[in-house]
Amino acid sequence: MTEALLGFAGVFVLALARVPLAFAMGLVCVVGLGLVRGWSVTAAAAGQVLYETGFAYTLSVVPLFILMGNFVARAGLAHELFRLAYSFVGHVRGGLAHATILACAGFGAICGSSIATAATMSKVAYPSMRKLGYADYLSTGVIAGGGTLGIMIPPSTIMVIYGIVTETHIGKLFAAGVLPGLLLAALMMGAVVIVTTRDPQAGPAGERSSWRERFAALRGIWGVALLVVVVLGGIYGGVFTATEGAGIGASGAFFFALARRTLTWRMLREVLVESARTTAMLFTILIAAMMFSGFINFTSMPGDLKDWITHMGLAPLAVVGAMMVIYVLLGTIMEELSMVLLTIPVFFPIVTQLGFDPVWFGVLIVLVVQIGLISPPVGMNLFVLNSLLKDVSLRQIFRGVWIFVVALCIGLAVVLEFQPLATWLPSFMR
Amino acid sequence: MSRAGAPAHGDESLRRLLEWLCGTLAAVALFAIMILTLIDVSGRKALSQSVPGSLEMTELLMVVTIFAGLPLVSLAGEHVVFDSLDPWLPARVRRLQGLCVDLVCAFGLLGLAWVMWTMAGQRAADGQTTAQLKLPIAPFVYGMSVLCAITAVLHLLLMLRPVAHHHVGVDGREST
Repeated sequence: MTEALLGFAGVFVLALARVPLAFAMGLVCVVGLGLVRGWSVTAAAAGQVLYETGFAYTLSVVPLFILMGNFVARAGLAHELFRLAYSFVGHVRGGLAHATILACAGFGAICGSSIATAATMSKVAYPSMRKLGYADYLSTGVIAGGGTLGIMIPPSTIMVIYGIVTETHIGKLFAAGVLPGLLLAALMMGAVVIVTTRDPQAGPAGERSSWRERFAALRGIWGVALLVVVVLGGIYGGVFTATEGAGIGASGAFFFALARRTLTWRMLREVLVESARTTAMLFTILIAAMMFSGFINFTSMPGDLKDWITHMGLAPLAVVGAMMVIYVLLGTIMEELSMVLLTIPVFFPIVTQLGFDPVWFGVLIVLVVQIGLISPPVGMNLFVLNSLLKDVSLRQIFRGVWIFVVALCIGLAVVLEFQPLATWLPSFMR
Repeated sequence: MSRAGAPAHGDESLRRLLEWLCGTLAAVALFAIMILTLIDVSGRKALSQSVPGSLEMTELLMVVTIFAGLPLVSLAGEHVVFDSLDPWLPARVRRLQGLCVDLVCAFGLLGLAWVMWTMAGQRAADGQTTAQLKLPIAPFVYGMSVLCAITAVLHLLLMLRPVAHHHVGVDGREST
């Protein structure tokens, strides 16, 4: 137990000193294991983790889904999604904000990253909202909040990584995200209604679109909609694995971008290099987290905590609830992915021991990451918007986002209480 | 990006070369994984015939993608860092901190490079190959080692920069 606590303390101290988290975790693991088990064993173990994580067929799911999202983002699909959503809901009060949430949800079905979704939407939705006289706090809040749907609605990078680390079925995780994702979209639209009721000036209504315009807007996205159905439907129906589906999705998105003539050689290279870079960045953290979890598992901490919880006779749901509170609090100041990877070796065995479904816990993890991404003072989505929309102050962004944090917290409580919301869809998969 | 401070000329051309080399390597490998998976899966579903050795080729290409991408991540300062304390630290302390951090990273990466080099030597001595295509594995492990070493040297070179290169930023941070 002491070794593990010292290990965690070490990671935090190094991280506070601005050592990249991957290096902090790796270093602590090597020093910790080296002291406990001997240096040559540790070096061999570290090499083994590096080797096995590198040479892993199933892990190609990570770059392939990233690639799919990047291709489609470059093809300018977000504009069309937004136009489509706007043509249906634009005429109600706060219509553009509602349309932003719907477009984010749609974009989330192709893109597995919250930051990419928020960044893309800030370019697409913000100018329209500004033109119509939306208050900045509402438009940025809704983009930041809606952006987080990118990781709940499949595909999702966070789910893939959770699946890899905990050896949970990635296809099932994807299926589990669908209903909570829709619930969250609805909750956020509720938040927009509340904001625009209290402050009607913040989000005036737009013009009503004719059915002809709606169908015209639909025509722009049917290709990608088909791709999403094939990829996610194929994974859900067991036609192919998540890895295979990712390959089909990336290729489909590539041909889609090609067909729309949005792809030059230069852009192709850019998309590929950008995706490879994101992949490399994720894998450094992933490899380090695997090493670190090897160290934690070698200590007595996971066992001790399990014993302690059994001994205390706490209600299982209360234990998970307490974990969620810890995550939400930590998430306000910590980078979310590393927070999850750092704590999984300790929390995950407890959750499975208590008899909970790992798929359900995965959805909860995604939810706390979502909350962390938009909760001030350190929410990545907020900083993304702040850097992309230069003339909106961080204070305005903070002011607008809190209601979406509340919406996500309600969603978290609902998923915590009604587990079938996450586990019902995956239960039909083999 | 707050990558302030103009680097020297030789430095810059070296950086471009590295970016071009690693970028091309990673891009080609990633594109190959994509096409390979497409052909393999559609072949298997439509003609019930898969590409022989596609699995192990993907594995080898994954290694290329990840490790060729590694120097690019370091170069762009895209590693996940906890930078919330930055506004409270005076510039001089941050400069010193940047130096120490790069030193730690370089040290860790050199260690990994050494471990992988030893491992590659063993695989080469055993003449280990992939199961189906009988491709030798050792060159790829040597490659991992070399790219780790290159990234380590990169961090040492970054120490020479006038201002801390890690930025409080968002570019390319698309993990979550």
